[in-house]
Amino acid sequence: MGRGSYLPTESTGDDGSLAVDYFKFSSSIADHLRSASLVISHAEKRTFEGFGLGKPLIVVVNEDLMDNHQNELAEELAERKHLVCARPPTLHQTIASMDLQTLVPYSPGDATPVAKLINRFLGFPED
Amino acid sequence: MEKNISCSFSDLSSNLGISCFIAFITIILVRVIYVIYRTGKPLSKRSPQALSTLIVLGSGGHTAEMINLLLVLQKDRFTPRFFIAAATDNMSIQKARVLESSWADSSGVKGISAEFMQIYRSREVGQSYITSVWTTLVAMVHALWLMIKIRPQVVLCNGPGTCFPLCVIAFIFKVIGIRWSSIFYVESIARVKRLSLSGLLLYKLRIADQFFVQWPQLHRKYPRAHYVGCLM
Repeated sequence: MGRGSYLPTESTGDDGSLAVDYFKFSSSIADHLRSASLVISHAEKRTFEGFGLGKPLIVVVNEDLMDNHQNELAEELAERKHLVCARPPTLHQTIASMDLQTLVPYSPGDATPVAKLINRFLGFPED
Repeated sequence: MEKNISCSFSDLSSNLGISCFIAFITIILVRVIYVIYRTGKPLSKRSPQALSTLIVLGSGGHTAEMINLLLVLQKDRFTPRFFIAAATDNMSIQKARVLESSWADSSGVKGISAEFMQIYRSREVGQSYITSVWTTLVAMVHALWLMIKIRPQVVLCNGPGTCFPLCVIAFIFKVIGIRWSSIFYVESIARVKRLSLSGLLLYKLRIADQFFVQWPQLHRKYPRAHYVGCLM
């Protein structure tokens, strides 16, 4: 999947184990997100797709990547209690001990301050 | 006697050559200092016409963030629009095309007035910094070619490596007098405590006219930047 060689094993979960399904690529995962009650993702900006739908989110940070600036965003949002941060070795402990009630919804950002400054700089009249 | 004349003639021409060279370098330096001085100062013209705009797209969340910004800018002020993405980044171009067609549909205009281009990358993700020097040079030449064609008045970028050669060339165009442009850089939302390499260079070299950061930590570290909160 992606650039790796690992492929998960599909499982229906009939025998009490975890039901597992996977896809390699989807142009929009919005529908999958909508039907989920928990989202676990690695740290990347698509995190925000999950936010828009108000789903609790666990972000797993990749400790192997050099200069991993994506972690900065995950850690900052975790500090502000918008999501839970986890590491691969301790993910199961994080899930067991997390308290999703303490999560604070993320309010969507706004690009209009930037637009205002750009317009003002260029001399366009204020709207 | 003749030897003296020919000697002094070649002295004269080499002196002249050296003087011209020094004068040329001085003019360039003065011009660079002037451009750096004027960079960041709002344009003095009131009520400008529509400005040709270069929009630099990048893989990952860069394009999504850029589109978020474009949605709140008035299209008729920033036209014609030129989108540039990395050669390997077809998805960004696709997203930009979708945006432009939806704009064309909603305003009832037939066809799209924007142009879409792709450029060789300065540096692939994970590429060593040493080999990046060569690939950056190739990207610079390609960027020069595209910039000569576009000569934008406004440059919008938010972090991908592709934007650095383009911004440098825009700066050179200002120095030489080919085209004065306003360069706006919005650092990505993923940059909370440290700037990206492109951002750091554009900030330190004072190439960007306005530099925007989305987190207060960066504003404290880089006080010349404007803190604008999260865009997404």
